[in-house]
Amino acid sequence: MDQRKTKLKDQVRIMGIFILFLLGWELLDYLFKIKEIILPNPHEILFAITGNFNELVHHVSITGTEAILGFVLGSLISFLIAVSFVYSSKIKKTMYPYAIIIQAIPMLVLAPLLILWFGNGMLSKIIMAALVAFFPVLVNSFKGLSTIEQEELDLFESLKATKKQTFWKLRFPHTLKYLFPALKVAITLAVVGATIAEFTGSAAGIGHLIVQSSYYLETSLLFAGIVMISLVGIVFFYIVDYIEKRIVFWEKEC
Amino acid sequence: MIEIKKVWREYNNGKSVSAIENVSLNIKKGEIVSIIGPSGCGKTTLLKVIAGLLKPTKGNVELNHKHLSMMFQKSILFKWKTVKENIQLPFDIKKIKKDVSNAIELVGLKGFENSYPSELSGGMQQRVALARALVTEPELLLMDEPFGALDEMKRNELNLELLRIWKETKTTMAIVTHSINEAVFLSDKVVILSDRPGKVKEIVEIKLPRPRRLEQKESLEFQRYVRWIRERLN
Repeated sequence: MDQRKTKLKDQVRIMGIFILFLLGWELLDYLFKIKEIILPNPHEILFAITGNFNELVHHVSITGTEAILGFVLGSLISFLIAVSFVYSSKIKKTMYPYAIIIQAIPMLVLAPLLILWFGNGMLSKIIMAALVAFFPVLVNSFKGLSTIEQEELDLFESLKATKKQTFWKLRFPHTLKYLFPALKVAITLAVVGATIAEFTGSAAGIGHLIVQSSYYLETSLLFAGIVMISLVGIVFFYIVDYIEKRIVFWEKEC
Repeated sequence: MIEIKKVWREYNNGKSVSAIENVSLNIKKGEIVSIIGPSGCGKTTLLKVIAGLLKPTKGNVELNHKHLSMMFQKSILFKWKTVKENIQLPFDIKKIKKDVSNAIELVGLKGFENSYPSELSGGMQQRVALARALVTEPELLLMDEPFGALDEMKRNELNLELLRIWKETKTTMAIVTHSINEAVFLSDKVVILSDRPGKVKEIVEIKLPRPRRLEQKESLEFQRYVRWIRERLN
């Protein structure tokens, strides 16, 4: 009961800061009479959201779809590659150094190239999202899959487990606690990747909307776009977080 | 009966290094044998050779036991499975369904079937590992420092449990340990290995009466065995 009370108090405080921030913003805007095209008020942004809600949802759903598809594609491929690293030291020794080096390239610079190759439809954005989601998942899955202790493998060998059983009963569940933090990073990056690719060239999506509204100095709409895509990022993050807590229930935070 | 005949095992990390050399040892059915020696003397290697996890470079192991189980210093329990599900692992791997309540009762874990390992103490976790090893009713139980991570009280408690279980099941046991006390207390035979590479220095028959009780540790006879082994180890 007491614990619940303190938790509630914490939440009130967290919300309070946000409300204070918005009020301060309104106040400064009022005092200094900042033009809407430079910095709109919170309530102007809210009106921009409610006034253009259907349009915003349409664009956000496109970007969201691109991000999710890219995220699934990128994480799946990188997980499979991590598995191949574990079972073939030859593949690992030749490919892992490349994985480390390529990781250092800021993937977002590839956006114009992807638009050139895959057009300005959804495909180029999905690939961009997959590329940015790829490496965190690769590194962490490999770490999880390869940090099995010798005694654990001995136990399975003494029980005459097949390779498949050792993978599904031992390696895979062990990897989950490394995999999920990477998936949380990857889903957030995938949203960024899809949006940036839309900046570069697109006919729809939230990135497209943001760029368009900056051209036409519709700054309130621009902010509305930022708010919407931020919400998408946050919601995606918490969905993965929720799944993690359900699946990796044994790793409780202290 | 297990006959280990002139077994050598080498590791190949660039150049070959022997872990054990010319080890010969007989373990009779129903016997409890401890293997003791300095760290890194190849005790674990010997155990793995007996288990068939490592092939001897020279020599051979004759094993009449149909199946064996292993237990380690770490309990190696799956945190995502309950006590009962952890004990079922050997059957899961063989893809058969079998009741494990006997094993649970044998190690005194009744009432904890649905607990998760994180809810148990270190000693209780080792009991789960022991139940998992015993559930297949092995004829031979190989243990690698099974109670090495426990404090003295817990270790004594589990030593007594192990002897009680042995009395019921008459499982042949080979135990790698660091503790001379534990070796003398549990065993019919203590095998002293020399420093790397491990060779059999001496096999000491422990003729203390059974059933063993903790009070025996204070007896002169017990102390004599302990001193004798300690002197051979140094």
